[in-house]
This record gives sequence, structure tokens and C-alpha cells, in this order.
Amino acid sequence: MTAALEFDNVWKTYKTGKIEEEVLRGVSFTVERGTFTAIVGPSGSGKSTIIFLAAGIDTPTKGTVRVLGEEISGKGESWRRKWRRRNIGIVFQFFHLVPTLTALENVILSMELAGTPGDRKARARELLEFVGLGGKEDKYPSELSGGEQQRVALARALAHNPPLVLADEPTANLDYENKVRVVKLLREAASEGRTVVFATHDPELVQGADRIIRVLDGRVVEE
Amino acid sequence: MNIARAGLRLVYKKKLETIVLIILVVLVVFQHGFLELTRYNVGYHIYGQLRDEMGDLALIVPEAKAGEAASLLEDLGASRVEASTFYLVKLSIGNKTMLAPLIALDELGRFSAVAALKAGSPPQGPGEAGIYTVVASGARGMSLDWVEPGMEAVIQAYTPRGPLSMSVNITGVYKGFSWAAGYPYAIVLPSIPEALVGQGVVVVSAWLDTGDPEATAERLASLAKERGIPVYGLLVNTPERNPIIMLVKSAFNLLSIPASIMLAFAFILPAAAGTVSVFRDLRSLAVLRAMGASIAELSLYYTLPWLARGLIGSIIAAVLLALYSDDIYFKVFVGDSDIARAMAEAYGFKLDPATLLRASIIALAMVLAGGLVPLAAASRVRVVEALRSGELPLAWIPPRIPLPGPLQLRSSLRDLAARWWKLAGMVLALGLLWGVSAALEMETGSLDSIIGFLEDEYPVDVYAGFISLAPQPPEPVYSAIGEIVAGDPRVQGYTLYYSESTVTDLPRGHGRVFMTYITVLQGDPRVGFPLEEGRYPQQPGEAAISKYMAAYLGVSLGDRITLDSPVGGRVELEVVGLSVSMLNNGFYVIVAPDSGIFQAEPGLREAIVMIDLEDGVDPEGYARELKEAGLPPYITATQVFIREDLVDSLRTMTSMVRVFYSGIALLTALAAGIALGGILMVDASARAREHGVLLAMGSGRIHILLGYLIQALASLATAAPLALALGYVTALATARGTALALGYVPPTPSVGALASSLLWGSLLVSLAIALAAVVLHLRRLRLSEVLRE
Repeated sequence: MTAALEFDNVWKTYKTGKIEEEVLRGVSFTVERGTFTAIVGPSGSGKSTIIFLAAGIDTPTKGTVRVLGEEISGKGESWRRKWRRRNIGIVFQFFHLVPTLTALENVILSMELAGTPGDRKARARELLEFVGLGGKEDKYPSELSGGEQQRVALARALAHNPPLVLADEPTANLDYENKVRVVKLLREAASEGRTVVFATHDPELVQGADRIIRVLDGRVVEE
Repeated sequence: MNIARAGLRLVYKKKLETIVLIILVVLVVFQHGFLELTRYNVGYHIYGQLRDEMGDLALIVPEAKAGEAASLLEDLGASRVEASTFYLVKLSIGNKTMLAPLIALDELGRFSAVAALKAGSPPQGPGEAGIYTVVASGARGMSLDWVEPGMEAVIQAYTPRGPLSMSVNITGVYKGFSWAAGYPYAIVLPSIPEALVGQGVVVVSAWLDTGDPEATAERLASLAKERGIPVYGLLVNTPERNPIIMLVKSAFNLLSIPASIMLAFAFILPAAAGTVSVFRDLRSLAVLRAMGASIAELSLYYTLPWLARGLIGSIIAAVLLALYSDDIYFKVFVGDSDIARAMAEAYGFKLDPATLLRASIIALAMVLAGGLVPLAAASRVRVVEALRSGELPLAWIPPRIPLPGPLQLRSSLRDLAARWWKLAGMVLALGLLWGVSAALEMETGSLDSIIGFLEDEYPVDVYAGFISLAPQPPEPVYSAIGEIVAGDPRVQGYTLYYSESTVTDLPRGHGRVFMTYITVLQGDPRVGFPLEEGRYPQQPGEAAISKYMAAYLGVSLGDRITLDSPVGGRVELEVVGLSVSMLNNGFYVIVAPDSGIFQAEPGLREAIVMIDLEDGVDPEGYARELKEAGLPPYITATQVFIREDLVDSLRTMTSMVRVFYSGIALLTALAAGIALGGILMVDASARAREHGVLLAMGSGRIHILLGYLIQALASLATAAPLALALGYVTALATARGTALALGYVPPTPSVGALASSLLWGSLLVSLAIALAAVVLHLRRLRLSEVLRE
């Protein structure tokens, strides 16, 4: 069986005006399917870039990114977008819910984009129950607390049943109680056979992870 | 001061917003300023030339009375008096026959201060002649552009010794900027044939160093009467009362009124885009507020950049106006390069500073007013919420109305409802654009209704004007024409009338117009002036007026109106009837023959007949016959045309109106497109993260673009009532403003006017520009950056 995620000597440089910044410098690692993996490192170490490259949101400057057996780093944007719809669920640090869709609609949105068959509304309700938001389906994001918004974002990431869930600092803006709750939910998502990779700088959250990849200054320093 | 500096830096940092507002301001200021400068210069050129040619006032008298008229003017204090003589003759070139003034070569300069020999050589001896034509004399087939040197012309005149006819060879073609004695052409001889001397008409011009031309003219009219000098015409030339200037300025309103509406875009863009940017920069704004920034300081950050952009745009527009408006003016409004050059040399092009500044100041005021809207939004920001939230806030929670269709469509519509400033900006921009196009439809719809009336209801088949070539005709023209028409079995009915026109101040502050007084001398007045209400005037002090003039003035039967009389002074008239006529510049008044308000004896030298022919009679054949046969030798037709000709000329005018409006509609579409594009672009950059998330989830850029298209279409639907109202108001203002030049017909509000092809063309242009702005934004969107923020 192929790995869920393979980075092979991946480099990433960002250019802002005349300044070039090397964010990743030859990153290589492999994440097996069905694991709950944490990418740990301080701010600016390159964690978010790894998540974005794994999601196909961005492409490496050099090196190869292989996800679920597909080498996505050489593919065009349109291909990556269509591939991402079906295969990736993603959770962001700032929740990033669509402000003009209700909690239920935000969850349905990812199924609509992925073309998930079946009763989408029922599944969305089920997922909101799962993340503890039953009864808040019709609330707009601005009517929910930060923790609640992040749980909607998690439900959204799971709704279309993607084989790989990526989370970028999902607990950075949450209080302790909500942090624990979100990590627990991510853990549960992984136990259903999915691969979950999350980036964090919080050492407390990585304790339950199957595997920890430590990143510093754009390099993997420990696996 | 740091906040002011930070605000001004936004002008550079937010380049797209800066470029968009500058382009918009340049566009609206330049077009508005150019039209105003042109209007100013046209007036100035016409007045300047007319003053050179005819002085401050001119008396038109028989040649035999020229000396007496000149002394009279000198007695009245004229500093300079000059006389120009012309002879009305019948002129035939090829198969065209027309009435034309005959003038001596050395008089040409007095008839047109700006004239040039365009082809051939000047006439030098007996049997040679030149043709003078005015530039842009195409109306009703009056152009003589087809005449070339080498052609033969036949001149027919009338003297007390009988008719006189001579053949001449055309050696030169002259062109000029002024009409010659009221005609768009003249025949020019090296000298006047002896037989004609003494039979001409003289324009005695007077230049006054001091004194009011209008008051002098009134005294002149009464003194001429006292001394028994027959007056064929009395012209007063002041910039305010010059009928040509009034007509031209009125025609200009056709362009300038809809164009003025474009200035409103200078408000919409800073208001809507500025408010969007307040929400985009909410956290920086909250930080400023948290640091204790006052409203005045916030205005430095949120209003100053827009004002600076508006100022840059205005300066660029003013520079462009100063550099190019004269070139465009001479190219567009004069055309003929020789005449344009001569005119530029003689009169120049005045860059009236007040006119130049006005457009810039209005635009800046609009920008400033627009810039105050984001300031108001910025002052109401909730600092704590803004600092704690990572999301772009909504103005209010959108209603939870279940909508069908994909979620992205739902989201787009709710976003529009939740961010009112965007909706308001787009609705205003689209409403203005749509309104201008709708105004066109309503205006041309009104002109079409006149065409329909003339084709289907109006009884007149043939219109013919006649004049005596002899200054003192043996028999009044009207009775000679009446004899011809009355006994003709082909004629079902006719109206034989006399008219004089004058500039008058309208009652109730409705401005000043060029108006025609009419008196029916013979026949049935119902043919030419069918009554809609009331009766015809029976005694002095009564009048039947055009129903459109009544609508313009807001008067009805029984009301009294006070107008200027052709003989000078004011005359009070009771409105006893309302009529409709082909004379619909809308400003005519029918009075009784003994009303005592005409300068000349009604019908003696001039008369007009409008004829309703029996069914089956060919109007064209009848008109030809009327023009060429059976007239006494001293009478000639000035112009004869049939209903078809009139309808054709109205159709031509409608097409011209359509072309002018299409130009304005295109400019409005560009301005609306830039305004919409600016609003959407700033909105798209404010919602960059939202778009980033959608893209990260696998949504396509096309879906985001579709969302904006849906928002634009929803705004369009919301803008429809505004557009209809604005279109009607614009059409009404334009109809009133152009009444003198085009005739006043009140527009009819119609929903159908919102669905014209022009409208859709304009909308497509503006939406294409707006969506191109969103595409530009989406192409520049760096996904990983916006998601990281």
C-alpha cells in the first residue's frame, strides 16, 4: 500500500518584492495511511507551507510531493483543484468559514464541491452532532464562538469523507477546553481509517499523535 | 501628521484604487469640461462673428430707404454704421432652383467674417459668378456641396421694369461660417447689374459704443414707423438674446445634461469602494481607534487619499482640456480645416478659467462627499470586536431565507444583502447608466410619436413658403398665393398664414426662447393648426398656443401669459386655444391679424401656406407645380416640402439624437464600468480570504466570478426602479433643455425604455469592465499568502 504523504527533497522559496525567503530547505518525510501525524515547530518554521503543499494549494520550488499515490507537485492548478475537492479536507487556523452561509450550509458546501452523493443535509447534521453543535445548524459564523466555528470547520473538512485531512494550527486561536475538544475530534477522525496530519506549535497537543515530525528553519530535524 | 502621511501613502500603496479613481475623474471632468468649454466658445464665436458682420443691431430695409435708416441709427448714437446690400433672386443650377441672396464680391466679407475660397478663382467680369455656401448646410437638401467651378447658373430677378434673367459661369466656390442674409448660400457677382440697383434689400448695421442694444432697438422700431421707413427685419445682437446662440446652446443640452449625470460617478466610487476598504482594513482601523484617533484624524486616513486621487485626476483632466480641447473643438464642430484655421486665427479658442475650474470643483466636491461615507463607516467601527475577530464583518446578519440552487449562489446573494454599501454603490452606478440609456429611449420615443402624428393624423400634405422678390410687391404675397390655392379642386383645405420670430422671456421663470408669432390670413386654420382644446383667437389680446408650449409653461385655457413682442415691449395674451402643428419646436403663438404685434405688414412680402390635398393627389407633383408654375413673376417660393420630407428630416434628427446619445451612453458605460470595477475589485480584495478558502476547498475561480456576476445581475434588478425614475427625470430635463432646438415634447415614462438594445450594449460594456477587474484580482490572488493571514 502506498503512503498517504511523501515529501522528497522539497524546497520552497517565496519572493516578496526583491526579497527571496527560503521557507523549506530540502524537506523529506513520509506519512503512512491511517495515521494521526503532528508536524511541530515554532512560528515561521515552515509547518503551514508543508500543509499547503500537501493540499496542493501551493507547489514546491524544487522537489516532489506525492499524496495518496499521486505526484501532485507537477500537476496544473485545475487538476490539483479537482483532485483536492475529493481527496482533501482542510482546517485552517482562523476557521475561515464562509460568513454568509449557516453552519449547516458551510458543511454541505464541501460535499457540494466534491459532488458527494446521498443526503447531504442529513450527513451535515450528523457531523454537526458529532462535533457537538446539534441545534446550532442555522447559526451564521458570526453568531458562533471561536471554538464553535472551528468545530464547524472540522465538520466541513470531514463532510465529503476525504482520505486525507490536513489541519493548519487548528487550535491556535482556541481556549484550552476547545483545544482539547478539537484534538480529540481529529483523533477520532483518524481512527476511522483516515490519515490526519496537523501542524501545531503547541507541545501539549502532540502527545496523542502516532507520529511527530519536528521542523525548524525549513528543515525536518526529527521524526 | 503621521496619520495624514499614512493616508497619503495609501494613494501610492493602493495603486489600483488610485488608478481607477483617477481614470474615472479624468473621464467625467474632461467630457463635462469639454462640453462646457465648447458651449462657451460656440456662443463666443457666434456672437463675435455676428458682431463683426452685423454689429450690435441691424435694420433690414428696402435699398431706397438705406440712407434714411443709416441716419436714423446715427441719430440714435451709433458709433459706426455700415450697409450691406443683397438682392433676392431665383437661382437655378442644373435641375435645382432655389431662392438666394445675390451679393457683390466686395460685400462677401461682411456676410461672413470667416470665409475662404475653396475651389476655382474669384469672379472677375460680367458673366462670371462665385457660389458661397455655409459649412454644415446639409439640412433639408439645402447643401450646395455638389456645385463646382465650370457649372452654369441662371439668375432670375424682378425689377419694376419686369423680370430679369441672366446666365453666369461659376468660377469659384467659397465656404464660410455664417449664413448669408439668413440663407445657407449666396451667389456672388463681381458687381451688381445696373438693372437691379435700387431694388435690393439693405442690412444697415450699427455698432454702439455705449447704450443698450435692446433699448435702442425699441426706439428704432418706433422712430422708423414714425418716419415711414418700411422695416423688413430688426435684429438685436447680444450674447443673451442672440437666437443662434440660444439654439446652439439648447442643442448642446442634448449632450451636456446626460453627460452631467456622469459626475455622480465621482461620488459613487469613493463612497462604495471606500466603505468596502474600511471593512477590509478593519483591524488597522480598530488599532487607530484604540490608540485614540479622532474622527478628524480618521478622515485624514479615509477621506484624504480619495481627495488626493480626485485632485490628481482633476489636474490631469484640466491639463488635457487645456492641451486638446481646441483641437477637438475645431475638428468636431467646424470640420472644414480652412474655415477652422481661419476661425482659430480670427477668434481663437478661449480656455475660460471659470468653465475649466467648474467641472474640476464639482468632481472634487463629489469625491469629497463620497469620501465622507467611508469616514462615517469608520467612525462606527466597534473596536473590541474588530480586534478580536479574524473575519470580515457583515453589516448585519443576512435573513435566513431558504434559497434554491448551489450554495455559492446563495452565499453571493446573502453577501450582497449583508454588505449594503456594495449593493448601494452598484445599484447607483447601474441606475445612472441605465437611466441615461432609458432617457434616450424616452426622448426618441417622444420624437417617434411626433413622426407618428405627422404620418397618421396631421392633415397637411404640402408646406410652401413664398416671398416677394420686389421690395414693394404690386399685390400682397398672401392674396396672390390664396388665389392660386383657393380655386384648385385638388386642394381639400389650406391654411395661409404669416409669421415673425423673436427672442422672448417666458413667463413664470421658464427662461428665454426663440418664438414664432403666427397669424392666419386666409383659409381654414384647422388644417395647419388643428385645435386640441378651445378656439382660435378672434381679437387682439387672445392667443392659441402649442399644447406642448402650454405643457412646458404649465398653463391651460383661460390663463394669461406675457411675452416679448416682435415690435418690442411685452404683450399680455389670454390663452384661448391649444393646438398641435408641424411647427413643433413647440414655441408658437397664434394671434389675430389685427393684434398689432408684427414688425411688417402681415402677408405683404411673405406668406406660408399649408395644404391638405384631396385623396389620390400626388403631393410631390403638386409641390413641384406650386414651386415652378403659376406664380406672379415677383413671387418666388422660399421652401416647398411635402409631409414625407418633414418626416424624413425628423427621422434624420431622431437618428442624430440617437447617435449623440449612444456616444454619451458609451462614455457613461465606461464610467459605470470603472466605478463598478473599482467597487468589485476593492470588495474582492477585502474578501480575499473567503475566496482563498473556497479555492482551497476545490472551488474554481469561475465560480467566484459567477458569484460576482450574480451580484451584478441582482444589483441590476434592484436598480430598475431607480433607473426608470432617473431616466424619466433625465429625459424630462433634456426635453426641456433642448426644447428650443429640437422642440418640446414631454417624454412618456415607459418600462419598455429599460429594454433597449443600446442599454444592453452599455450594460455589457460596464459589466465586462467590472468583471475584468475581478478576474484581475483573482489572477493576482496568492492563495497560500491569504490563507496564512
